[in-house]
Amino acid sequence: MTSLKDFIEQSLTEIVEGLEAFEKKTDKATANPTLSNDNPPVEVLKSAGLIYLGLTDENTPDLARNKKFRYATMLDFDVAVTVSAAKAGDVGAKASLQVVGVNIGGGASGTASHSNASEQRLKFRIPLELKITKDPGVAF
Amino acid sequence: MANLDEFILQTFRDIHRAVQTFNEEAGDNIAAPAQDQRNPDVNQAIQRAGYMHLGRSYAINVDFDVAVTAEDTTSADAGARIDIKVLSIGAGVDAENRAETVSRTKFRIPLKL
Repeated sequence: MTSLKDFIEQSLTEIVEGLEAFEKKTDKATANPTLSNDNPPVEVLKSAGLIYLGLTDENTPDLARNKKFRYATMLDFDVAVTVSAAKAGDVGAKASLQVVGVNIGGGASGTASHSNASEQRLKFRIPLELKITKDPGVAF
Repeated sequence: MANLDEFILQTFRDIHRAVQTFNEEAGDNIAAPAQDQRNPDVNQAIQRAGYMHLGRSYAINVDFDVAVTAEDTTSADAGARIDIKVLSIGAGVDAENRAETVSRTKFRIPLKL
């Protein structure tokens, strides 16, 4: 088992590392492509399960030439945790949360691998803005 | 078993610290990124994605589904008191003068990261 904090952090990190590794290995496909258009592709992003964040900072030198749209993917966490309570008399100790089963998806439904009447479930969605690739990407 | 308040506190702490640590180390990749708050399209997109739009920022929702037990810990010294305890998996029932019933409680609390 791992702590809830480590689990979230590691999930975010491994997604980024996976995409970076993918980018290095292929030039025939683009993960997280740049969006270019005169109009914000709000509906397109929404239907793709992504979230529109506005324009790139036009003060950023390498992005100033082209208007580009920022977006974030959303990580849905559905986590079963168990509590490791602080021992009585252990001053300053806090309860810690350990992940016992997990289900991550981009809005997809599913069930965790672990089920117990006394388990605690946490669901939350963290937006993740991934580094914009160099690829000009898709124009609408 | 931990009290429910400790459980909530630790949940928020873990989520917040995980995002904070990731953002310190992940370069241009950003968890819970700031949005362009002047753009109405963005604000609308934030709301449609299920986040709580707060004007200049937004909050994620954390849904809790927790197995709890209410313990009557009334004593002569402390007076009447009920503690809400979060069950641990595999935890046995402490039969020591406590009347316990396992219940589930579900609630949603927004968290601004």
